[in-house]
Formats: sequence, C-alpha cells, structure tokens
Amino acid sequence: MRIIASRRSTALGLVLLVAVIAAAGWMVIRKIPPSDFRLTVLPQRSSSSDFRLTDFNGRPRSLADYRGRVLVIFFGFVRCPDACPTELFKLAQVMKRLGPASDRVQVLLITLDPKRDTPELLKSYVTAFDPRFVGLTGTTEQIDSAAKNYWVVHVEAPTSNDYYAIDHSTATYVIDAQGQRRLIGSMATSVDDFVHDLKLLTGRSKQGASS
Amino acid sequence: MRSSKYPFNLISCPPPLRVAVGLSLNRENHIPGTRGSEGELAVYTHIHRLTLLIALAWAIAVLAADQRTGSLTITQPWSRATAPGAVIGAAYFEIVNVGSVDTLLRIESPIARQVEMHMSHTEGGIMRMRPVTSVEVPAQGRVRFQPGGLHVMLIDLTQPLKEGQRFPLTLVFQHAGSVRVEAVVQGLGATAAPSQGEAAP
Repeated sequence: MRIIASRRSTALGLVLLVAVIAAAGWMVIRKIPPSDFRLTVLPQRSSSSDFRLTDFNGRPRSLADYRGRVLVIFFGFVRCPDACPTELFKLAQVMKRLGPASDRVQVLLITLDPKRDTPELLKSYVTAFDPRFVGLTGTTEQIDSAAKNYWVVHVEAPTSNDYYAIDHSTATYVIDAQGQRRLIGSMATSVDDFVHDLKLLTGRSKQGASS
Repeated sequence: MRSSKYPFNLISCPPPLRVAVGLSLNRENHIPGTRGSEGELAVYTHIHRLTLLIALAWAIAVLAADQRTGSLTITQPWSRATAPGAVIGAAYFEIVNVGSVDTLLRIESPIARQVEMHMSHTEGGIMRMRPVTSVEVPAQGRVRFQPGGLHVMLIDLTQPLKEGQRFPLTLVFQHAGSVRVEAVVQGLGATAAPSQGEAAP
C-alpha cells in the first residue's frame, strides 16, 4: 500500500511539475495581444528606433543605454507654450500612478530646439515635472536623425523677430524593455490609458528578464 | 440678455455663482407665510445672512477675475505656472460680447518683454502655431482663448509664473478701448481655469 501511495504521489508531483513548467513557458512565450493595448500599436521591427544623443548631464546616450526599462519618448522644446508642458505634466502624473512599476519606466524629452535649449535649461525644465525625467539634446544632425527615426516632423516657425516656435509632431512613443518601438500615444491619450499600457509592458519586461 | 436688476450678468456667471445666487433666492422663497415666532425668524435670518454671505464671497471670488467694459466681458483670464528656466508663458480667457462687433488689436502685459497672439492647430498629429495680428469678436458672440487654440504668448517673461500669482493683461479693442484684467496663474499642468475644468462634462 505504502509503495503504491508513494508512486501515486510521485506521479502527481511529476504532473504538477510539467504543468508548472508548461505554464511558465507559456507566460514567457506568450505575446500580449495587440488588442490588450489602449494606445496605438506599431508594427514591430518597422524601422530603427535608435538615437545618438547627449543627456543633460553631458553623457552620450543611445537606445541601448535604456535596455531593460520601458521608454516613453516625447519630442519638444522648452519655449513651447502649450503642448509640451501639458504632455510632460501628464506623463508625470502617469509616473505617480504607476507606483513601483515606474522604476522600470524612463521618460525622455528629446529637444527639437538644440540652439536655445542648453543642457542646464533642459535639466531644470524637465526635472520640474518629475525629478526622474531626462532631457536629451545633440547636434542639429543628431536630432534630425533621431526625429527621422520616429517620423517626427519639426520646422522652425518664426512669429516675430524675437521668437520662433517649432511646429512639431506631438506623438508620444513607447519603447519596450527590449528596445522595440511598440506604441504611440497622442495629446488626447488619457493618463489611465498610459498607466494601463505601461503596466502591461513593465509586467512583460519582468517576465522577459526572469526567462 | 443683460438684466439691469443684477449688478452683474447672471448668464455669463460660471455655474458655482449661479448655484450660490439661486440658493439665496430659494431661501427667500422658503420664508413661511406667517414668519413664525420671533425665535424662528431669528434662526432663519441667521441662515439667510449666512447664505447671502456665501453668495457674496463667491461673487467676489469669481468676479474678481472677470472684467467687463461696455458690451464686452473678459471671463476667467488664466495662465499656467512655468517650469524653472522656461521663459515663455501662455495666457487664456474668454471674451463674451453682448453688443456689436469689435476687434481685439493687441495685448499688453508687464510680465513679458513681448506679448503676441498666436493660434495653434493640430494637423495630422503636428501642432502648428501662427501669429495672429487681430481677433474679431463677433456681435452677440464669444471668442475663447484656450490650450490648443488661440492663446496669448508671453515671450521673455520678466519673472517665472508661480501658481496662485496674478498679473495684469491689457486687452486693446478697436471700439471698446483698453480693458485690464488680472490673470490668475494655475498649476504647471493646468489645461483650463479651475471652474471651467469642473464644469466640463
């Protein structure tokens, strides 16, 4: 009787083990269906999403430096009256709402106005919204190249002798922890929707890291 | 539309004020026909005064920011706090015109070295901004300066804008002349004047 019982429990244990391995495997292999996201889902491996820029502390930065974290990228400039502060404030609220998951998210502002946005100015500006935000700048060529990779249109639009605005795309891009450009949000995307999708992506990046 | 019975235009009042005024009027209607005993009257008068005081406080709080000249009312001028280092600010308001057509020619303010009127519009995900030389305020109509649309550009701020701060804006109209209003600075990420935000669906 005892032998039969132990054989049974061994068999049961094996079945359980197989089930657990299969479940873990499924979790790793599983891709989040696009329909689960609330932001617009981009086709994967569409084109390069890399950039070669410098952060506001003078350190050279490329996409690879942020591997392991979900990136939220917005292109803007400090002298932007309306769209940029509104979007950055929204992203600051998103970070607050994400709670501990925000540790795996990095918000980047890439300036479209390297002539006027000095690293110091960029730093005091973006960190006012959230101390964890980082501003990136570079040469005109570097910024043009980054903007091109994100299909960001930007044109100087002088309104007077003293001021020029920059007409620019106001999309917000989400890059997953593997460096894949995944989602596009807009000015109209709510804090709720950003929080929802970033939680999905940070959850997935955790599974990816443990595999 | 304007009623001379009231010292201000009820129609253009933001909802909280309307509620407050309505409340005080309702209280008046609730006076019992006999007026009851003296004690009852005293209690009632007390409530009535309190309601009136609340209504008055609301009126002062709300109207302090509004400015009317002739047939034009400039409602809820507001601005957004600026992040350190930012030298550009924006201001917004609504112009309500109960009279004939007028034109807003320019805006002046000591808060910035230069003040311009700009129009933003989003086209295919690209936000574009263009200077506007004048803004027509249609007869019996209104013009709203708001985020993502018409706005006052404060270029080269003389000081950073801090939440709760007030600064003057002078709107110069072709017919009505100069109207001075006080813009109230809202938070860093504000997208509307507070009571407008509350009233939004």
